[in-house]
Amino acid sequence: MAEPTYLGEFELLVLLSVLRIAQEDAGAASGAAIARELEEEAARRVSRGALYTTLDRLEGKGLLRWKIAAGGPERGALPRRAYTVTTRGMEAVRNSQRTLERMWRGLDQVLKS
Amino acid sequence: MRATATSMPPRLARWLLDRIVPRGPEGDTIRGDLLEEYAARRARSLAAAWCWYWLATLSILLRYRRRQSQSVGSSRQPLLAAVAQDVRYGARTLIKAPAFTAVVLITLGLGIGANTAIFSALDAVLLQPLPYPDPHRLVRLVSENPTMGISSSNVSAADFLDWQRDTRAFESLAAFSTFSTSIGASAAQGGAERIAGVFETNLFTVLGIAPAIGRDFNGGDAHPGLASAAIVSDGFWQRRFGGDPGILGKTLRPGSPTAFVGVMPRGFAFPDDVELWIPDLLNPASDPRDNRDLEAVGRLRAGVSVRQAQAELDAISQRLDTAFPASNRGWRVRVVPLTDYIVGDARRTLLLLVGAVALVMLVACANVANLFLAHAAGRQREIAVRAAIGAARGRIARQVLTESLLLSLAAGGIGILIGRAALRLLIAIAGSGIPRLEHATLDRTVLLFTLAVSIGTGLLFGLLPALHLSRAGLLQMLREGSRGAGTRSRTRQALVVAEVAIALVLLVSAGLLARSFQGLQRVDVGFDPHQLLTMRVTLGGAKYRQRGADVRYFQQAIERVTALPGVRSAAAVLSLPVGGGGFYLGRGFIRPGLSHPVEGYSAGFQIVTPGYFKTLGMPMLAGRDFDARDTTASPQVVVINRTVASRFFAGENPIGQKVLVWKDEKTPREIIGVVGDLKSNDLAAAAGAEMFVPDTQSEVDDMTLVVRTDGAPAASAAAVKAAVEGVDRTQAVYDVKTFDSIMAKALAQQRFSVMLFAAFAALALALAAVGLYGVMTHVVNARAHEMGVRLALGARPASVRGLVVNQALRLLAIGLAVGVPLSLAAARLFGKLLYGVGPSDPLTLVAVVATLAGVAWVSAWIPALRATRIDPASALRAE
Repeated sequence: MAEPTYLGEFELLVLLSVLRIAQEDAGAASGAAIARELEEEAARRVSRGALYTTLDRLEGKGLLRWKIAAGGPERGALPRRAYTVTTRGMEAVRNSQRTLERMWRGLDQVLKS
Repeated sequence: MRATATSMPPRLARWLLDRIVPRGPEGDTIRGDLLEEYAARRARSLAAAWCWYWLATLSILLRYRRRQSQSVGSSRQPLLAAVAQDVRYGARTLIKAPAFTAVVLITLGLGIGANTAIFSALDAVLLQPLPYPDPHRLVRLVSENPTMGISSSNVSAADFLDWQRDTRAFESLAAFSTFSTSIGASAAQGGAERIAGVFETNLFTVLGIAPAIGRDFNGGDAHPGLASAAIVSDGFWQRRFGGDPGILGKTLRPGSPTAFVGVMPRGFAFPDDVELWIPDLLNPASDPRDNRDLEAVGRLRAGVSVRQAQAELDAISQRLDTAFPASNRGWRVRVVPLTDYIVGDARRTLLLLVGAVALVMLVACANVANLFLAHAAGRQREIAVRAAIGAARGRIARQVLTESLLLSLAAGGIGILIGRAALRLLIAIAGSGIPRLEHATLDRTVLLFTLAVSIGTGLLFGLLPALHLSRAGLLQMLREGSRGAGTRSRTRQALVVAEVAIALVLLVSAGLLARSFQGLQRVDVGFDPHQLLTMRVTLGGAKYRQRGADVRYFQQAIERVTALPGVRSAAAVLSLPVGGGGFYLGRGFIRPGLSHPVEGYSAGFQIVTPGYFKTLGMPMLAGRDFDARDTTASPQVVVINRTVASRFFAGENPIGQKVLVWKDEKTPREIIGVVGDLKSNDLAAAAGAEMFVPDTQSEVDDMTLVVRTDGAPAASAAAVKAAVEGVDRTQAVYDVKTFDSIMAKALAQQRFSVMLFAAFAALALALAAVGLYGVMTHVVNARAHEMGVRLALGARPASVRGLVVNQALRLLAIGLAVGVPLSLAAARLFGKLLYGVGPSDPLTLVAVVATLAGVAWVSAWIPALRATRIDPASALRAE
């Protein structure tokens, strides 16, 4: 049984972005799309160096994988990566969600004020 | 498929990105992401997209750490990884010290920018080869006669043919003489215009360029009288024939025997702006050997040096001297590489500017080294800790060097932008003062130069701090904390002394050039150049080949112009003074009784209409001006200037005496007047001997009208031009300009060097001031404790201030002691460029020293003030 994987906040946001994009259009989660999602939905300004480092790290941990997909004219026909979250990645996201929910429990009054 | 170039992100950033991310599809996915986002942002704002792309690239450069690929094993990996680590660390250090980084980038950017601009000028003017095959084999042949004081003259047909026959050093020789002509208006071809043309033999063979359309001349094209063939430039062909290939076989003017046989390739123009080439038949039988009216160029045989060619022509000149003493005594020919001939005096100016801009770079480097040392002082503990936990000295030195190289490369990028703007400014300032400068661009050569300068400066200013930091004793550093080490302090002071010395050299140079320029502006040209309008007419066509037609034309033009309101007087001359005519005609002359011109008997030769002296405002010292009495049939007359009168008629009254102007006219001319001297050619040269003959007695088809106006001459230009054109609509009136603009052009090269030297000197002064300020601030910080104690013990603030200022003045004094002899030596380099001021002009030196001292005092005063505000208690507590 593998150790549960703990995620940093930014890592979690990246995985959630991939999931959100895939929900609309499976295979559409390219680096550019993830950056856009983070900027628009999480209101995060993302440095591209940090983003690609994080994506590579998540891949290294086995939480993400990608395959090469053809790129359209908007990117000069250059190929793109189509990211998907692995089973292990889904596990890690659920794990984070459970942890956060546990930690929130009972704090409703405090957080309301 | 690729996106179009216009929608592409900045090229340099793309290049950089290609170096950072791996090749192949994996890297392409990142490149594609950035391109996609760039395109999206570009639709909103190009500038924002541009900035974003750069930021993204830099962020990937600094922050993207790729997972180690599976195939490790290269032995270079550790070094590369270490360098990458150094770069990242260095970049972060620099970003954390934004003020330091900004000052360094601006200082170096300015220095590199100035160097880039000057180098691109140097490259275009001196280094770029001429646009002909094997251009290094092309030479210009210039006649000279040192004993007669003639340093540059044309060659005669007879001499040229003798060289052509006897020389072995040349593959081919060409002779030519330029002319201008007017082409009449025609419905198909547009209005009347002036065409610059050249009569030539063999010119295209020597240059190695063939017509793009049609053929080169052959032996059957030149005849006595009018030639049967002509070749035109691409521009002429496009302008007047709309690029019609049917031009071949057409004639220059209706009914003319001269038909077009070829069109030269686009961009070809030799000599100068010539557009019409006509074959010339050299005939020594009809052209006397002393009529030197041809220009000559040659192509050396492969492997023959200029010196060998010179030696051979010397021997031939010697033979001609002996064989034809009447025409060739003392005459020789000088072989000048064609590039040198075209560039001329601009070479010296440019080389001096290169020297000046290199000095600016040195000051900038000294300044940055200084800043780096100060910056390093703040980091001493950090570095000591790194050393203590095991960083090798080499590694620390490499880290510091990496930072300096990062800075200098970034500054190189800024320098390219500054250089591009500066080059545009440079070309605008130079006007036409520097030949070939208009072709200067920031091309690959220039960018390579900028890269080399950037790396060189990075090493230069980074090496000192790198050595200092890696050599300094560990314990000593830890113990001293942030207080400066003694040796570093000395190094910084030495750097400031060097900056002061170099700034002094540049300031003295700029001061001398400015004084010289001022002198030239005030020079007495011998007439009043203001409120003077000039325009040129070159008469062409069959009508003007009739005797007297040219004279009648100019007479009518002057009458019409004089009748205009606002015109005081008008006249015409063969070639304008102060070099305004573009050429200068010299003639030997003799007094009756001598057989040929003896040493020094030569003078400028001008053909003028009556009223020329009055129109220019030249004083009539004796005798009279030309007037209606002086006709073709009347006795031949001449007016001489004061120099001729005093040099050749000392103690005599020249009026009524006779001279024979030596050329084809052998009839004696009677001197009827003496006028004042004028600068005929060079503003800086002393006024020379001049003689003037009336156009009625020496008819020419090409003259320049000079018009004295009541108001601003430019305001009358249109009316005057229209009046002249009214005489004969088929003749072009061109080169309409005020004499003020001719004066400005005569000073263009000097103005160019003065402005640039002044700019460089100002830059060096500012940098030296910043350097001194930095060092004095450092001194105050380092001695805060001591000063605090002094103040606590009751020292007056003035005496503490004095302490600081005195130290600064001591540095200044040493800088001056080094700089004064250096600047005197430097000034000697451009002794030839100076007019009316000596290279060791005391006034300039005093003014410059005073300026430097003033600036140094201010730079020291601010830190000195701060010294007096040190709170004794906190200074002591800090200890």
